Amino acid sequence: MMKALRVEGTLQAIEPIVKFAIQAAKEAGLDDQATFRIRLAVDELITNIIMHGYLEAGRSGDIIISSEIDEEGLKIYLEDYGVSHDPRNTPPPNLDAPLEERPLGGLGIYLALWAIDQFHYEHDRNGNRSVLVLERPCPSKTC
Amino acid sequence: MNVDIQPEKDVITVKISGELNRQTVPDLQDKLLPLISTGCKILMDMRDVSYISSAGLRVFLLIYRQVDHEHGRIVLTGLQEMIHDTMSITGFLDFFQTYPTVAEGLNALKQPAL
Repeated sequence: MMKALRVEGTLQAIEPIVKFAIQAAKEAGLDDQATFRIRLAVDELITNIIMHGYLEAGRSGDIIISSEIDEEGLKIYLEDYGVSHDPRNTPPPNLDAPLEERPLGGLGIYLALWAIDQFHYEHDRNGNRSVLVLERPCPSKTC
Repeated sequence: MNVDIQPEKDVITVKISGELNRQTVPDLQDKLLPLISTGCKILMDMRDVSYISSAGLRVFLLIYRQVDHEHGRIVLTGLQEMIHDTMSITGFLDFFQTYPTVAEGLNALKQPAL
């Protein structure tokens, strides 16, 4: 069964969306580590969508988060109507730079994509859609 | 998030509890940055920190720079596994010294700097 939450794309949306993701992780039976990972990815990606897709671009619109549990694992869908940006095209941070020289931003998307097992992104004139997948831990030693 | 500051004569111990995210870190930053002074020694007890996002890491970056600028020292203790992994994958643990317990962290701060 698919569950969904629709909220206006402002900074106030982060908290209910993150709560939705934590609840979905709980319902999928994920352990604390996996819950941390999906939460981190949703937190970072949704913050990015709100900041860059909506606020900085002077746009407004909703964000829809929905979740689905299937044989592959937990899938979280994020839909928005802000500026399109595939997070995978974000330049990676320079992790070799000393902390003295690091820019203050740029780690969020890197962490989000690190935290989850699969990431898909598509956009068309109706909006943007990200799919975050956390694979179900292997139930037996055969896989 | 809760911040408990114990300023002893040699080492300032800061126990942080809860979640370090965009909503909570401005408070953390406001409480921590004024503690940093020339040659300060700071221990951050992180055992009860259950979550950190890039917003939390950004505060650690600011703290590190300020401590470094003031020729002080800072150690982190008791990182939970996912906090450790998040700080490791972003290269923060190449700079921050970490110890399993507060006692080990205090002991390290008593030794001369490396």
